[in-house]
Amino acid sequence: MLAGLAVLLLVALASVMVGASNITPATVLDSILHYDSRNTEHLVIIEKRLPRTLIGIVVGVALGLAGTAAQGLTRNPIADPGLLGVSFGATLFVVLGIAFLGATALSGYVWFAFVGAALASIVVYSVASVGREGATPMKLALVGSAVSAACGSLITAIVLTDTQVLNSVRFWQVGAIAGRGYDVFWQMLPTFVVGTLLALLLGRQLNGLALGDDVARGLGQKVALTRLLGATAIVLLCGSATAAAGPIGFIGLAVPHIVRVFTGPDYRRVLALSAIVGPVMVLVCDIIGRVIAPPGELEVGIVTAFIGAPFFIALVRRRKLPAL
Amino acid sequence: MAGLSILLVLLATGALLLGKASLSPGEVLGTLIGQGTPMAGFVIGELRLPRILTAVVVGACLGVSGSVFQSTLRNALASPDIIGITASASVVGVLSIVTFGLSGFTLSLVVIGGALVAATTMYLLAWRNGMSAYRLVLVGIGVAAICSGVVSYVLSRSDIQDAQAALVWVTGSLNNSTWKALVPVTVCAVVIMVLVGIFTRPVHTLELGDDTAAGLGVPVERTRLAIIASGVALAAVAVSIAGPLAFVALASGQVARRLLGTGNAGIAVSGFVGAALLLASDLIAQFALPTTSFPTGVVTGLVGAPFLIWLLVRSSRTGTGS
Amino acid sequence: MRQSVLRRSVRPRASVLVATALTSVLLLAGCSATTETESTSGEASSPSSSTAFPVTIEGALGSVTIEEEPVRVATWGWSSQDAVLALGVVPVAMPENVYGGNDDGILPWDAETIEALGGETPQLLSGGDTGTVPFEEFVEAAPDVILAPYSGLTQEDYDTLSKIAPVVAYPEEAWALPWQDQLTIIGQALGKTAEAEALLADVDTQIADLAAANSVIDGKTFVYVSALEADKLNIFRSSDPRVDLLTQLGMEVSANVADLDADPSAGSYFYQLSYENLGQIDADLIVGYFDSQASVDTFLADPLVAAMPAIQEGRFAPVVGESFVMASSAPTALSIPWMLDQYVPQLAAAAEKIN
Repeated sequence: MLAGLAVLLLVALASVMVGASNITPATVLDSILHYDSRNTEHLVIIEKRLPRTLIGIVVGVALGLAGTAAQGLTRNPIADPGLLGVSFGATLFVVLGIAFLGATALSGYVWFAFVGAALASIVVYSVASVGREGATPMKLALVGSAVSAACGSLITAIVLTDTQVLNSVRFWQVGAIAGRGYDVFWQMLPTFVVGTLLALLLGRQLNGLALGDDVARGLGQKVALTRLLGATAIVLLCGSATAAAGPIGFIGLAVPHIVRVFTGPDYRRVLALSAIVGPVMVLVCDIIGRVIAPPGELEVGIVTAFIGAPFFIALVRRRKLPAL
Repeated sequence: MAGLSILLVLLATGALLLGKASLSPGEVLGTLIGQGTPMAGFVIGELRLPRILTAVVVGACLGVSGSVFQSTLRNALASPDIIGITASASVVGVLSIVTFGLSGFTLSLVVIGGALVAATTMYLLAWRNGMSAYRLVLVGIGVAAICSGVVSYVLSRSDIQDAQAALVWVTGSLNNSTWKALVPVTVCAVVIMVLVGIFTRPVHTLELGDDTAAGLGVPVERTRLAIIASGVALAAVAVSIAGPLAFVALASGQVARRLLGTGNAGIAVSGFVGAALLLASDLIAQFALPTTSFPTGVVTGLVGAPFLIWLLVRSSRTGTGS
Repeated sequence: MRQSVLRRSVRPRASVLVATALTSVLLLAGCSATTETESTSGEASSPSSSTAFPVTIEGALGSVTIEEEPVRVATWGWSSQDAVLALGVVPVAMPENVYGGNDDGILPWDAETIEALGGETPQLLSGGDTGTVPFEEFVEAAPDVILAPYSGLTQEDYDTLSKIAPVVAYPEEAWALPWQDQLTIIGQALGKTAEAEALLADVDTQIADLAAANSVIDGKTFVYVSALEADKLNIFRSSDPRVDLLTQLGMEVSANVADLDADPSAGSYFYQLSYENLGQIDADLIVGYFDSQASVDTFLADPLVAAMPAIQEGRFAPVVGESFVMASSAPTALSIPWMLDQYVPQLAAAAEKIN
């Protein structure tokens, strides 16, 4: 755990030091201690790289925790926080915002994304809860993918009929933490904090759920309440992350599996380590994206797919995966 | 099944009659018996009929494929669109269109080849002292993630015209339905489906669990391999002609299962459901809005999703849900 | 908004310009010379339209013969309707242009010309945005000829469309035809070759006149950019038609543009530069296209952009608004005059700020 934190710190430092333009560490230090807003290098560090690193960390924590919670809640190893319709709902509302309400700046997207994420998840959760058994994993998964498919179709429909929306969305949809200022960071902070606390506190309940609904009830847990709180946490976390950075795939799916290799199945430990591995993964991918294609950059959403996925596959092959 | 067949016939008739080139029912009938004007003949014979038949064939392929995957891997979400089969097909397709400018029959062949290569790779990657369905699914998701990354990258780096055309292809469209492409695809599809029919007799047994099935004399690994290979081939065939139409594979299997009641995989029924779903979606995609028509893939999600949700809700209420 | 419109170099070949200038002179002198066009092979066509048919036009997807002068003309792809209208014919069907078009989906310069010619509003074809050919709409339109020299038609689309009417597609490659060549091919298909050449010379004259009237921009260096993604700037290379139009006005591409290019042999019309490297841009003027004023404001609000010396001194001349973006991304005989009248003075005003 401590090793993890150290790695995170190192990676964060690297994130501030590395970029498309070469800035010496001395200048980096200088920009923090003696900030001069007329110096372009100082501007790059303080206005670009620093918020980028901060948002990367926050997004990584959010996605890591949301992924763990989603898999615990649905008892499905291939569950992804996007399953509750979050990333598609967010994208849909951003698209609606651009197409019909003239949203242009990134900070304008944030609110749309969050509302969309929340609404989609509420719809999924309510529909899945109909009936005596409530929101079973199976129903959550199925309704979630149905709603995601419907949102996806709506998004494509709007985007194909309006070239300008396509042009705005096709870049946002890739998922990136570049170009987001401090305003985006502050906007996502409240929901992020609440979501994080909620998720971390659910560790014991998730352990119970993993044994099966009946066993959990037998142990005195309120299964429906756990599900509700878990879903809320996922929405808050995933919603904030998508609102800030666009839909970054795969982190929520892969992080729990990677973490479980080191911690075993106890959800309390898995959650805690996910909150560290998540941001490390996001920042590492972002750094790679900055240096791999000069003089331009590759977005973090693309790099996570290219690097995270093979790494994940290698992991799946190598270890005997502990059951969920 | 009878109900579904009638639905299919109704939808097909509707599709024959509707269209921007206004033809009266009399003209349509006349053309079908060989008496129409050349232009009506063109519209029916070259435009509408191949499109209807393509929708039926592609829908059936996707439906059967989805159902096969879901039963064999014992996971409701394990359908070819989620575990990377259609995703890898779409990557091959997008790259072929944007980088090499392929289209039509050549494109179809390349896509089928690409999907089969990807599936084989996934299988090999998941194989470690035997096959684990769990590992296969996870590998498939990894591959799907890589593919969607590639597609996003291509979409964000290409010219806007290429991006739009690629997006249509990635969504799935029936606009390029021609006889030339349809005939070989149908032949392939029929052959594979017969194979599936042969292999799936043990599928019900497989659902009882590997050990039970082995105890009952079913060669578990080989059967599973054969079934999955057929499922992949079917999905690849479908994607090669119409693109990766979202959700049809996933939904058809689930809808069929619920229509028949729990426990029954209903692979054949899934085929019918897929065909009906795709045909209905295509009609809506073309005619729902008077001024615009969408690629079919846009509508499959919009049509399939509410229907699946309705079924889920209904079966939850009556207590027959899972 | 179209990032890059053509995939091959579109600098009007000097030989074409010389040829057209020469031919116009000869025509004016009353001779009926045989004209040769660069991109089409086939029978020689004479200036008088009555002997222009039947004409055979070769193309990458097949060769097509037009038997007699077409009356009902349909177009597909970009810019072809501009050429048809510029030659005095109102098409019966043309693609709907939602981006940059007015409420009816028609580009402003097309709408003006249709009204001036007193014609009926053409049937608007859907699917132009995605390249999905609406075959049944073409059947409804019942055209005599379908003109699509600047489009992305596939072989299958071409074969199916050819069953409705003769189709003139691109001569060599999809989406790769300079607007001057487009005009020439369409002129040939409509039997109006002479008018097409006169038009070409006319537009060149208009551009030259505008350049002379605003001589302050002569010789000034520029960088053509667009900002679609966060923290990234797209810089257009010299081969792009937008850049080309400005050089025709007398401006020069800043040498800087080639210096910052990491991969000059890449086929695309633009390359990307991270905002972190904005300080390395060095040019008299910064030119770029933006959908709307809001996009311009967002661009200027970024601290690294605002810190650029050119921006601080006001040496910035954006092309703002969908129609203008469309006019500069897909220049034609109609859109160029429409756009330049308004834009060149704006360029001149920015150029005045160079010290």
